[in-house]
Amino acid sequence: MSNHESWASILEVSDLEIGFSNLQLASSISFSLKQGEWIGVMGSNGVGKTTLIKTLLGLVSPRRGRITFLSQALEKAESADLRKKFGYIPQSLLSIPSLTLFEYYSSCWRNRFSRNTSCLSEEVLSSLQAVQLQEKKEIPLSSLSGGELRRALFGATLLVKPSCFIFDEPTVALDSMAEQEIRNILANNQLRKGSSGIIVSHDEKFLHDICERILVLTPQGMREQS
Amino acid sequence: MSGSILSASSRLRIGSIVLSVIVLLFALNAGVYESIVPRFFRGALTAQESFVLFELRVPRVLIAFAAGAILSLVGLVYQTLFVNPLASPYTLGVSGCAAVGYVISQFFLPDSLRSSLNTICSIIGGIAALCVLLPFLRSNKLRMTDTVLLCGVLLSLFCGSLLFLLQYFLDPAGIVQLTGWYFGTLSVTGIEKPLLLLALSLILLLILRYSAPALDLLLLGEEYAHGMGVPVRALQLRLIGFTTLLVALTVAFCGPIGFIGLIMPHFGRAMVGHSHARLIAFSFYSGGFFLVFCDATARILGGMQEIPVGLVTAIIGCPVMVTLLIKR
Repeated sequence: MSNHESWASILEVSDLEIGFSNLQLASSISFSLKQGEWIGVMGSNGVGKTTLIKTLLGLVSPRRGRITFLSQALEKAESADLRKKFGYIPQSLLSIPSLTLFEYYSSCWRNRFSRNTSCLSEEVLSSLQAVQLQEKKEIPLSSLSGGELRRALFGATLLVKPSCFIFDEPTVALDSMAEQEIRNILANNQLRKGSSGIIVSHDEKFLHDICERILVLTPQGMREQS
Repeated sequence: MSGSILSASSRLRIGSIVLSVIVLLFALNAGVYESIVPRFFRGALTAQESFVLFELRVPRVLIAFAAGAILSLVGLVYQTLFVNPLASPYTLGVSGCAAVGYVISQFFLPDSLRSSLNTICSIIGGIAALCVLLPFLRSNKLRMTDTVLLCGVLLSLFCGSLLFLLQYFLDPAGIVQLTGWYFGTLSVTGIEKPLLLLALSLILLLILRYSAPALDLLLLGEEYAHGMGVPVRALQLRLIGFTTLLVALTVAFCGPIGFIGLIMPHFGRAMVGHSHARLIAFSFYSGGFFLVFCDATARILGGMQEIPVGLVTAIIGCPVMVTLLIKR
């Protein structure tokens, strides 16, 4: 395990209260994520793990508290450029389109680096290779298996070179072989390239294999797992 | 190896260009004055034929192309933003509301106000439809895609009933005029309206080309796109606002032409795939040339009478589309 105590913090959450307009889920959430550090977030069902992630991403407004990302306050609507520095994989997708993998990756690249398309093909192929999907670049997303789709989503986040990965239940509904593939990719330090990440999961062993720290979310706040 | 010198996309591009030129010449030639195009190339046009070609047919082809391109692109935008393959200006009730605005102005306002207010009333109708649809773009409501469509269909039915009700207050000549207009008419004099609509369709094309990667990411869901840094809410408002304005203008100039906005994006997906970068360009050209072709066919079938182009778009397009869907 690396010691990140002295490293710069890229994400600071202080006294955050999460929930919806008429429902408080958890309060007094404070933690920081340092450069190069990966933290796992656990907690019982319904405590607000996914809501915490959505609050970090600006999809849900915080009821109270402050989020600072890369030394800037993360406001809800006006932070699209700042949010481009997240690499997010949700627990489930609203729909799985018939875009081919190459088209999907190209759009991720163009959305992130709109003017610079000179090395698009090279970067797309390199990311596909990292998640071992280079042979399937012309296959539609809708034809991929569950494990392949998860790998494809991870490859897309690698492509956009985020400062902070955010994964919500990356191994949910995967068989053991597909889960092992995701574990291998996430544990690969070369792919992580010094970036940071937050992974929400129920799988404690999975989090221990990937993350330096594990935090437990409770209605009263975030505590470090002993 | 196929042994073919040209790639599939090159063949599609060349085929499209050839077909477009044929449709264009066919449309300019179609109508009561036959062989007008060959006579133009031989330099043998009379003054009257010259008037028909340049003052009537060229503006008509231009407005048909622009209206078809706009409706096709707007259908594509609605289907992506509302995450619903059945969304279109017609099925979501935007065309219907704009039509009610236009009809109230055209048939019930004093003559002196009519010409200046037709377009404005049509836009007000479009904005009224927006007021019904916009709450669905607020967070989480997009997941209720069936509800959006149901709401749009109800809005469309309401406007259709309102238009039929308004007919009871018209004289027989007014009823004939309204019925013809209701299924779409591309009869136009002067080049101003066609050029305005064409310029707006090109602006829409450019905006959508620029937004293509964001639209692709929206296919995976609003949440995912937001997490990847797409300014989802701003993009939705900008695109829905501008496209609704264009639909209202198209309705004011050409009537509520259905079918194109619903079907052309699906035709595009069958031909060039789901990536917006290609789909947007394809929808623009295919929607434009399809309406030009249907209008020319309507003129040939109608002879001296004008058959509403909306009837022809559905009669030609539906069987073609059903065949494509079955094959897929």
